[in-house]
Amino acid sequence: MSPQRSLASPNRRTVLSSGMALAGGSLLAGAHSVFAQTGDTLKIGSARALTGLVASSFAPLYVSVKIAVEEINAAGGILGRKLEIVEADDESSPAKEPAVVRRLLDSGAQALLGPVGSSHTMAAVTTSTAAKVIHAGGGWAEELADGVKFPYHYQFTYNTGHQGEAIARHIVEKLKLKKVGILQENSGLGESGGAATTRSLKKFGLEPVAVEVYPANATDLKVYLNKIRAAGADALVLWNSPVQGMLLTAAGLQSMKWYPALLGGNSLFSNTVLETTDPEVLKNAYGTLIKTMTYSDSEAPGARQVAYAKRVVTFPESKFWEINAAISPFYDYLHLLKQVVESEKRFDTERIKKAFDATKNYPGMIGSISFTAENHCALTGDQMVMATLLSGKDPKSMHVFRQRA
Amino acid sequence: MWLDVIVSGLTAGSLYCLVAVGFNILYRPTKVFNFAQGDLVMLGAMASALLMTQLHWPWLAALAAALLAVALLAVLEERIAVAPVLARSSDGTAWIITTLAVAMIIANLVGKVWGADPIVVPAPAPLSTDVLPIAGISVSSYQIALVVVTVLIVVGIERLYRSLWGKAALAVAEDRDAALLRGIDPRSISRWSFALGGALAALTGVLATPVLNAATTLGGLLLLKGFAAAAIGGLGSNRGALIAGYLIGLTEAASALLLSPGYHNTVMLVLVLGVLMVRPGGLFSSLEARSV
Repeated sequence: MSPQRSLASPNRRTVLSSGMALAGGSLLAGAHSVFAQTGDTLKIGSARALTGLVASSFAPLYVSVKIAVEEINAAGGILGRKLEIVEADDESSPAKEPAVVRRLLDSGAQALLGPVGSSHTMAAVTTSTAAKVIHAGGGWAEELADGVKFPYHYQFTYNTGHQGEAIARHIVEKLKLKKVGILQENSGLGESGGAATTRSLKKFGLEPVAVEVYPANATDLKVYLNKIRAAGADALVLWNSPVQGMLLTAAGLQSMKWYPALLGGNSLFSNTVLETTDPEVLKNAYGTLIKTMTYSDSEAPGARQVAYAKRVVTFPESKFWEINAAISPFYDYLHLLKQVVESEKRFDTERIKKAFDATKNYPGMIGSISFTAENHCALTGDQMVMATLLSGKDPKSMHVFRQRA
Repeated sequence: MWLDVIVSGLTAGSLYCLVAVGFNILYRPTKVFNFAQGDLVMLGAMASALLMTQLHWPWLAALAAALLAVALLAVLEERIAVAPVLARSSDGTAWIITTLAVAMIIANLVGKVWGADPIVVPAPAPLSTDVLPIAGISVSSYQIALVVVTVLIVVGIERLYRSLWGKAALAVAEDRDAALLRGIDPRSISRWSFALGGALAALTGVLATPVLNAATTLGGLLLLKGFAAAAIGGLGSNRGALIAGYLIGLTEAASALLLSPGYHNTVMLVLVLGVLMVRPGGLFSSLEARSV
């Protein structure tokens, strides 16, 4: 082939390989900016699943980032610099988190947020801790609140310890039940939630009558439920992360015609559960929720939370999981970061850490936020309450709030 | 409680068997394990669930559409990810990577399209998932139908392999090059096997939805146990897959009742190891040692 011809008309192989190289190059380019601003910006790295199995289910939790960035930038940014979110895709894999965090830091991120999920956050936080970068992940495991182990990571949400407390308190003080069975998924969340419930029940002088652990790939939970019923349980505590666990539990209870009090974490609030589960199962079912996102007959949710909820539901990615979008940890994180940096008058990681550790009763969207050097969980157990599942059908819920039980 | 274990084991076992038979259909003529088989099951479930719940299609129409769509996708997979590999070398193992790549591509795409929340699909009328106490056993009409349909599918596929096309597929399975010399086109057999395997995967997904719901995690959930059923039953043996599927389902349900929490998957893997140690080719393997 002559050089002239090569220049004039590249052959098909050349075109295809160039195209693939370009496509591959753009895919592998790493972190990319969203909500990009012109001029001098303050970059926040966002680790999230943009592809893979959990991409769309975790997307609602990043709605809070969009709202916070919009509000902060409309108010002049932080120290006059607009916020810029730099995203990197973890492909729904915890194993990718260390590399994702590294990529975000290399792209100039000065603080980090995400990923969502306890195992994902645990994988990310080791790298962010080593890099000494302020970080707020989206995990609920108690270990993530350990300020000694992870001094730069802050949990702007509740954890399984708080949920266990709320569940035990409700069983003993409100429902006046004593025989509790625990059904937990064989996962980090199941183990942590089951242990927290057992620990909290012990404080009330109770021991669970049965603890059953089911594999995450179980196809039927009736055998486990039968064992719990045979042990005499009149309250069933369910610890599952995907909604499938609740749907299989509900199907099992319905087929057994057994309707104990059913309590669990916030995965019970799924719209799928609400729309498809036997009303008999739902009648006596409760999930843990942050108090600010609940209402009672005499007390409506706060005006600030209502305005926020109205905003959250306008985002298409919130649909079906509005409640998770509203209780996401990132809104309060970004707003507190602005407050602290502006009071320090500079972006200095050690000063921010010191200020975060000294935060007392900051009025966050999710509740009153406090940290200490040792405890990096924003909320306390008394800010968690039990809410009824059926209230999701109440127009007052706005798909976001639930009625306190 | 033991009667519940049997019902639960047979229900799950039927699904494991169908996944294993899907593996066998593809494996026989190509010697390829399709690692995307679980994703094809999931796509069948999700496609039919969306057609039924969002577009309100009748069950049969949704089933037909899902079968056709997944069969076409499986043929596309064969053309892109398997045929080029087998064309280079029929004994090559590059299909491990290429079929895994297909599985990863599907998993990435579905994560963007669908959320993790399952779609609840009712059983097709007049069947129901409501439990009826029959002679002391709590079982639904759908569970009974699932077991019966599974056995009929296995019998039907076994009969298919007695037809001219089936014999040609078995000839290709025996010796691809010799079959070619006898005028059989192995590429055509491969394509049709992928179409059939894809359609069966979709059928498995559709049948699974009333008991397991349609979810993006469905493929992964059934893939490992279906693979174990194929291995225990003997690769290529559909009768073996039927028995092994039920063996795994019943063992799993019994271990949930008898064993300490958290060891149920281990029991299944110990069962696989135990059978393969005694019979390396599986319970019904037609593999024999050859003197050369």
